[in-house]
Amino acid sequence: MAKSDDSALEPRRLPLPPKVVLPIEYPLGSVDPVVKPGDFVREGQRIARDENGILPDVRASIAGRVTDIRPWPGPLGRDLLSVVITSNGETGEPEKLFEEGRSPEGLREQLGLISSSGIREPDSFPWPLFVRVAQPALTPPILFPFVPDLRRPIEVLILNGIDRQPGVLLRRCALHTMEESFLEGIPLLKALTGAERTLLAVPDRMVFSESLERGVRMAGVEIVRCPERYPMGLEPVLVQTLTGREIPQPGGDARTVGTVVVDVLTVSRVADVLRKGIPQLETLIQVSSPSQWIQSFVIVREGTLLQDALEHISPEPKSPARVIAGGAFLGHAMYNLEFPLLQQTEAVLFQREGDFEPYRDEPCINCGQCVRFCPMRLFPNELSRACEYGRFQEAEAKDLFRCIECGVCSYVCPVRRPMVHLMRFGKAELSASREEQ
Amino acid sequence: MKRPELHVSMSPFVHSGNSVQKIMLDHLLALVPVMCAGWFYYGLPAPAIVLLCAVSAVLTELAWQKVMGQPVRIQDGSALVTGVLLGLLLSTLVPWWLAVAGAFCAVVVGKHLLGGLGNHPFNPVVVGWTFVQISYSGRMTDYPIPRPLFGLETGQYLADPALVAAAEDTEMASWVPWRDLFFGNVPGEIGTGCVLAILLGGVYLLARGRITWHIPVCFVASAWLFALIFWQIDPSMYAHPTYHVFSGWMMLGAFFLATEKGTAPLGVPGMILYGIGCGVLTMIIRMWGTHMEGVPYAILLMNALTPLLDRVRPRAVGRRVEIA
Repeated sequence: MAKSDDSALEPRRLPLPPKVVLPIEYPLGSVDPVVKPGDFVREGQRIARDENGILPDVRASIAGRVTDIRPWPGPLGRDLLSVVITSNGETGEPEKLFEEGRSPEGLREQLGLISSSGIREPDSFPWPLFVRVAQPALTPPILFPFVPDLRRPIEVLILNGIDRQPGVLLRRCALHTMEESFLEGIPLLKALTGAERTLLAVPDRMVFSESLERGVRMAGVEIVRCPERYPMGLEPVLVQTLTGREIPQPGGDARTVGTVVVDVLTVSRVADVLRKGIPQLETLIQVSSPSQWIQSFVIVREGTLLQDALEHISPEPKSPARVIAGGAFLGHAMYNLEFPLLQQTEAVLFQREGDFEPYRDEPCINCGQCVRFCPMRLFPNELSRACEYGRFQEAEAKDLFRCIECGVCSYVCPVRRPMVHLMRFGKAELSASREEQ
Repeated sequence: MKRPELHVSMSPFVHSGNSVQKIMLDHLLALVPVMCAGWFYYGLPAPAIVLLCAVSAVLTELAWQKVMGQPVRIQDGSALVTGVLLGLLLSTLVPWWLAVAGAFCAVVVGKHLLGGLGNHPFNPVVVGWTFVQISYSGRMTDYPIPRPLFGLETGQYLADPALVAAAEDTEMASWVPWRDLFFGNVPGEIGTGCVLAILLGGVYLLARGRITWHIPVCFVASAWLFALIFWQIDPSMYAHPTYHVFSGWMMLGAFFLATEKGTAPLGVPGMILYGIGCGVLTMIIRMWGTHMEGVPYAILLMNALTPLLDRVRPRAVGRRVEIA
């Protein structure tokens, strides 16, 4: 699948969709819509904002009329409150974030722009980008009581060029096609974070273009080649590999150990926002169906429904039995094709009947493969059994909450136990019983 | 595109293709050189005994699963591997019914009564072997003189080297050239003699990722070091350490028996302790015990300790060190 030919990584921009669905709910909470059904919105207009100024704004990705505000299946398999905008066919200039030629120099102003620009990250970070990359002096003080780790200075800024999961090549694509804005974004993020060291993590066999390598070195970034072995691209594993620091789980993130991880696609988006004032209304999506030899990269408006995007994708994946938003390891199987493509989605994977035999409810045989490959050094065999038999306290004592749900244990299991399913079940039961108390 | 009917399920949506069948196939392939060595030294009775054990183990499992109303899983190959391994632990001179009894006991008592595949506390092969050994010890220790095919020279000693060592007759033990020990040209069970063949199989298992190096290496190394200490103290009383690790069940036990799924610890510290325990117990039983061969009993004893050893585990990544 991974072709050395770079043209395969060239994304194609699809025509405007008839409608978009924009979720206004985040894992931390929802933002308040500032439009109501029936309103006309311009492209790039702000349609929802957070009263406290913590959660990022939501912007209209097309011009048109707001037709509905209602729950809609989101990228994580849960329904999210969303604003539905029906296009009026206009393709006017999008609203810029600031006037031409006047790039914002103040760091605080820059953070505000990042927050309102519509940048979303594919990794499920607990905090929005502008909170994560802000050095303590720039962090909104209202957050300190909730997240004491934000007081900690950022020592290492890690630019993540390693894709989150096998088969997804989005970051590789970004490094190839968005080189210019990526290089522009590096000094911006260095200034915001105040990091002493900046590392660029890339797969060990990646071929750099000469200009990219020179640009990165000029920017004072150390290039670190990592074995491209899943789950290397996930935050806890990457931070540990690169710095040797272990993120305390649960409840910790990269900031707890004085680091911050930003993926390369987001770096170039930051540059587009802070240098050119372009709100991020578009999404880069990889559409693939390995069994049909289909792999294409498309750029669509944020919130385009997969159904609408598919009309313009050729070759079209045929007769899917499973449609997965995200990738093969971390994605979510969707129950229809009417879900919005968002920056968090990254990839859509089509599987046909017979491509993948589902996991089965079989007893564990203690072969130890999961123990051997668990990146968190857990004993998934014991955890999965404890969750299976309802012994949740025991599972918690055996570090259930340190599981990052990467899925490696399911992948290697010879009897195909649904390991991730059992872990999530155990976590959900424990959280529910805690809420009751 | 029309509305397709979509399946939903939990991630991940990809699998390595690993299966119990593939694991067992690798174990069987790893045992091929050992079986060939048995055939080479002891003639046709060797494969006959192994086949008999294998067939009776599989049929026993089939009958058990039918009678108990369990789904029949003989196609996963685990009973086959159990049977083959048991056959390799028998002498070619045992009567046919003894082999069948051993296989029956291994599958029913060792495996199914105690929890089924991967959940039995003791290695079923060793359980089966121990049953026939205790019940018919006279017939079990009747070893044939190796008569290598192709007219190679046969060894000049009459007893099992493990027996020789147990008799503390170092003078006799020193007769056995190491070359013969290494190639298995000594009287003994079908599969335990040829160190070369077992190492070939063991390296195959390691290369395929079916076992890790911790248990076999710690097993053999700790036995060697333990024997070295006593050999240094009194060479006239105790056999040379290399003699110990090349003789008897040591190699087969370290690579194929001690590593059995479900009976050995899974964490690295546990595996290392388990290997060391196996090695030291083997030497204690060989040097001062009433049994000639210490390996099976050492493995059974350490199997019993496995749940405890699995509590010695590495700190999970990100676990905050709790200071009391």
